Amino acid sequence: MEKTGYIEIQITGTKGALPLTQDTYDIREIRELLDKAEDLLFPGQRATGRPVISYDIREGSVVHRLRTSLQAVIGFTAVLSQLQNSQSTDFLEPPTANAFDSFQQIAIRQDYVFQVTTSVVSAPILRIDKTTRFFHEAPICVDAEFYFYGEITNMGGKTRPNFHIVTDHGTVLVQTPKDFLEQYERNPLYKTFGLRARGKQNVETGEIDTANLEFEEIIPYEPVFDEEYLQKLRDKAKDSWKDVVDPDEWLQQLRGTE
Amino acid sequence: MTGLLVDTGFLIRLLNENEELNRNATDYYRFCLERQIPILRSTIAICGILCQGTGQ
Repeated sequence: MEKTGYIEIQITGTKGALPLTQDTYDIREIRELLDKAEDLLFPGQRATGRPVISYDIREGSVVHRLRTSLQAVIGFTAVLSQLQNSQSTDFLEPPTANAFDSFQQIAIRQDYVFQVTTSVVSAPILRIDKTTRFFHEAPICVDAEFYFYGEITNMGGKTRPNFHIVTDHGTVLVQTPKDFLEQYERNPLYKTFGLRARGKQNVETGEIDTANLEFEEIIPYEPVFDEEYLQKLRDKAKDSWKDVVDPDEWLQQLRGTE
Repeated sequence: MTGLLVDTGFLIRLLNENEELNRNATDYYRFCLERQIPILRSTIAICGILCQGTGQ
């Protein structure tokens, strides 16, 4: 059985008074389309970690054919079906939604018609033209504060001083004022710390914009049982809790479940 | 065990020495720290504690 398949993007339209053909289709337009093709099939993946995508361009007016693993093509066929039904890119991962947004922009700007399909039998043909609305809404991001715990593996830098902290979710860079790094007396390298940072977070996906995290505080992280420390906390809390006879009842009242 | 999720009730018992479950909460706390088990809590659990003015 064939282990590869293809997706096909047919573009029809005119270039001034001339019909769109391979002869009138500019290489810039090919480049623009190829830039997006990878995100259609393998959003967010690097070239080294995905199957090869090969390419050829055919007549009719202009037909782009992108060949890759059959599994990826079958997946993309399902995406096309969902797009056909919903006429919206809201369900897609951002890179893929951006690729369709880009086609939609071109369709309006150039009055082109895109027809996207695949080699899978009975695959839908998705039409994008100046009347469709496959726009990708910019994600709603809010200001948020984060705590990252892990080993600090790097600090400093000439132009954008920062901390590198290795967390359970990968290495995070936190932009940190040079003054702070200069004056911080402890050596935090290769030790576990917490970093409090400010940044942006997508309210729908919870995704953190790790490219723009700003340092707030470094927190020593020493997970040892310290009776003295705990007692200090209890002494501070004593007055606050003296009137709470039944914590369960207090919580129920607080949460409005009673 | 990869982590222990605690709610406001646990934090109250840990902080309030007069609570009859204070010893249990303390033992769980010590157990997790000694075995390097992360103690996780939601923001809303912390808000509950803050309502009573003991956030530290």
